[in-house]
Amino acid sequence: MIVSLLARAAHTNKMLIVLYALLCFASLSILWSVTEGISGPYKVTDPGVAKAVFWRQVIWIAAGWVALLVAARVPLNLLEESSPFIFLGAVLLLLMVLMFAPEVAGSRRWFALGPIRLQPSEPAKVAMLLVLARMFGRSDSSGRQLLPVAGSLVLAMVPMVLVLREPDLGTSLVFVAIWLGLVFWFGLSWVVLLSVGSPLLSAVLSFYSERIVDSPWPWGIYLLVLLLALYVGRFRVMESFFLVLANIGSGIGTSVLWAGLKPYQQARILSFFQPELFRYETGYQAIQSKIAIGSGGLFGTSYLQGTQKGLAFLPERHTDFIFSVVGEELGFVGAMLLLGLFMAIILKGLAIARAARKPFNSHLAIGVVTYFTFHVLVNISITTGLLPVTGLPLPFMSYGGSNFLISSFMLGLLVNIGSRSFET
Amino acid sequence: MTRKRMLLTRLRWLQTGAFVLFAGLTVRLGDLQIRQHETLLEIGTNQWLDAVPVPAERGNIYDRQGRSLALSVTTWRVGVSTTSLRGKDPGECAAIADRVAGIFDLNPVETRRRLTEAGGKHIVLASRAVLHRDSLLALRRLGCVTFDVQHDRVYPQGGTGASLLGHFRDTGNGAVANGLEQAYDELLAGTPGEAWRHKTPHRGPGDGLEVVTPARDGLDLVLTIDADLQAIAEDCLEIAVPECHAIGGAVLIIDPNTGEVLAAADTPVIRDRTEAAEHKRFWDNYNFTGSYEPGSVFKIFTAASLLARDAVDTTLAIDCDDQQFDGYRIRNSEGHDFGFMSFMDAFAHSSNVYFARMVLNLRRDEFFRDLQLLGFGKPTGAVYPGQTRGLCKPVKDWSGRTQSTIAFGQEITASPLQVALAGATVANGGRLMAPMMVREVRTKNGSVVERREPVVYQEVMSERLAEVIRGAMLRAVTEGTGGKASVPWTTVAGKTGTAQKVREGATGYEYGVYIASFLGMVPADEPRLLILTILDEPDQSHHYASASAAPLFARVVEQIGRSTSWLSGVAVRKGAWRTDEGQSQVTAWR
Repeated sequence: MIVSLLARAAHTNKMLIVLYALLCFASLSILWSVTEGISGPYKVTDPGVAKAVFWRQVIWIAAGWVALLVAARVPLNLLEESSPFIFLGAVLLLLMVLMFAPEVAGSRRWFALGPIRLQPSEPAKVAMLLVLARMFGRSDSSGRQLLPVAGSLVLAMVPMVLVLREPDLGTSLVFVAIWLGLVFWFGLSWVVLLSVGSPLLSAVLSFYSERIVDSPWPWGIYLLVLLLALYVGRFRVMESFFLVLANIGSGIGTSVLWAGLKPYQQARILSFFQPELFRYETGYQAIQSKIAIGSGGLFGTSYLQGTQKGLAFLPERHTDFIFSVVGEELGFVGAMLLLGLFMAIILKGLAIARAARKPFNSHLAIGVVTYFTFHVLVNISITTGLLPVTGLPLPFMSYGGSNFLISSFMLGLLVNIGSRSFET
Repeated sequence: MTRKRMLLTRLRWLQTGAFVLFAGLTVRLGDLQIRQHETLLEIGTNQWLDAVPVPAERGNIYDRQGRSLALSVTTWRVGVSTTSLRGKDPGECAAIADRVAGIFDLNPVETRRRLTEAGGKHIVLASRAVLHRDSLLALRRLGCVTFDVQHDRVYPQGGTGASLLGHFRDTGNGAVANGLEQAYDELLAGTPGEAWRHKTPHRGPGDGLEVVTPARDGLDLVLTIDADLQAIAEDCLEIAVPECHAIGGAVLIIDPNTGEVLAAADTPVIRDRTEAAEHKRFWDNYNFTGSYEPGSVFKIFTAASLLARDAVDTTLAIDCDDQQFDGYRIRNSEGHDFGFMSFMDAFAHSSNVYFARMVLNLRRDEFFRDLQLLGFGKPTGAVYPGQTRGLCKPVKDWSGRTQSTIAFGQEITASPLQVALAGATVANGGRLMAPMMVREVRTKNGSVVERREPVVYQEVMSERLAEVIRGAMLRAVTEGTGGKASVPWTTVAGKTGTAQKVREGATGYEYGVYIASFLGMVPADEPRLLILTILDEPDQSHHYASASAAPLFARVVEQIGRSTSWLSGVAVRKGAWRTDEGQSQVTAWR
């Protein structure tokens, strides 16, 4: 019902702005609660999250509005033309962060500019999106598809690999997601999509078979299903042959890749599959988050009263796990409302992407939608224990300047595109 | 396929995909927040909340003069949560160690070492510390010090009255009590409260304690016991037992007018509580839990029954030589050949044959009813764990000679308390009193919750009859078997009893093994104290009560007269109530 209400409101141009305002309000409310710790009879002095976090976010939100309005007004042609330079700049920043940034907890992710932390991987998302949108926008999807796709992959790999080097697995996957979204929208044929997508799936399942259940069946059954799909989908024999080959190859390649992962990355992935073995290490966060969300029940413990949050059991409750606080304090109902807001942005974004006449604009819109979808889905899947823990903020909600500004800018782009539906 | 159509299909794919994925999240949220809500909430709550009991302070026990017999003392188990010392600089830790060491008088170097080497563990500095308010506040200010309240039981009088009071220990997993501590546990224990202990992932225990239901402290008891009398009874018993080469003994002192138990000593006399705590048999007070055949002391009650029912001609002398009863020979003790005796002589010299014969004048059910009236075979109403009610066989189980043997106190068992209470009816003019152990129940702040008054169960004999029997008992002391129970400065009425002990695990009596007892009251005319002394298995030269229990009685009375005010003022009455007067009263009974 809420989704349909919002969908109806989507016909107005102001809808995205209203959604943005609502999310800003929600973010501030939850951050206020998080920085309050807990009141009542709990005689615990939680070292907690300082009130300053709230006030800094107020400043970020103010800056976010500026970014949103700038993005909503900026001539898109200008962005399109300058995108290669923006991309180069972003890559340069990523290189600099790898070389000069301080190492914190085994990774180099940000510069400190006075009191502000700049995380170059955030603007890199926009930069990559712009340059890919330009590339796909100028290619003819009905003709030879593979050349622009291959080219875009090379481009996308640059920031992705650099971010993976930081290392920041979650963010590097954002680049993959945006690229996949654009490729899909570009109109890449199913054969090619399958040949890219299915080996990934094959890799995950072969890992699951080998490392977790120690049984060949999950992977084996997957391969059988793939064969069946290829037969039913009337794929050509050669296509099918190479697809199956790629699947088997990636499955075997997983073991090789696994050996190349850092121990903490291996631990994270294993802990996702077997959190009880890692309760006090990586799995701890996932379990605490599930407990927080589950404690909320239908209507939540009510605002400010979350004990998982207040008593500091919940890690990263102001950043990556802020959704758990929503789940705990506002319950299923609150969580669904928040999901509804994001769903509305995504649906509106899709509508804008479709309505955009200009291929660059359309691809840009899809990239933004993919960005939001990926962030929201993965972040909430992590907090509900459906995916392994990787650091990925919930757009607009999580504390953090870089991501808030970039998300605002992205949303501004959507508003911009939406207001130029008739531009060709 | 045009691009436009392609985009439309892809749009549908994306919309559907987004819906499916969001629906998946919705299902997952529903699973966590609705289906698993209870489980996860419980896991979460257990993480930060422990329900811990708040111990109630146990009530104190005082004797009748307000002297402390058992006290609850609040002590603290003090520790340091060394996790909270992490991150502090060594100088600060050393300062904390010095402060703590100063308060507990510990070696500061050693304390510093323990704190630095604890490595995040919780260490206990003092397990039973008595803390003053100031030091408590000082320790609280340090932040890292943890406190657990404990209530310890101390017994200021040491071993005195130990086997009566019992012993209370909180072993950590449940309290152990016996004696009066157990009997009145319901009043003493109070109700523990409940508190919630909050925990965070960052601190050790003692983060915060929120009392949900405060503990209700136990009530204080003022006993009827007189610590002085108890000490006298124990001291005298401790001398008498080895003197008579007995294996044990008991002294029970009650106020016959109120039924108040003033002292209840038994063997082994406990001098060191902690040593005795391990031995269960030390803690059941024989005066309540023991059961014995009273022997000739019981003639008091037989006499009462006979006189009350006019079943005896007190002036008539009958043949008191040994004779057969239902095929069983009843002898007079000490092998006396008494010849012909009247009531008064038979009582004073304790002729078994006289009473065995005379009691046959009573109907069995009459005699039985009189015994029941005096409380034999019935619970006394005293509150004490493991009490016995004695054995008073119903008439249908009586053999042909049972009536005669009961007449001189065999084939019937009773606890010392039962005998004393029955004896008190003679002392107080015929009223069977309810035994009293507690005078007052008070709250911790001293306000009286309950003041207990003496309770008369029943009028069991007339005042005059009681007086007559007291007269007979007086003569038993002045002229009869109880001679050694007399004290020069006051009158004593009493009766000796030397009972053969029942063979353990078999029928019949053990040859040459006796239990000697003396039931006496002082002063004889208006008794203030009723004292029952018992010696278990005194040796050959002391096995008659006249040579063991009676002197013990005299010793107890002498001590009481010398060091307490219980009998002050009685000495002047000496002679006011002469023996011949008792004689004439009995003679006049008919």
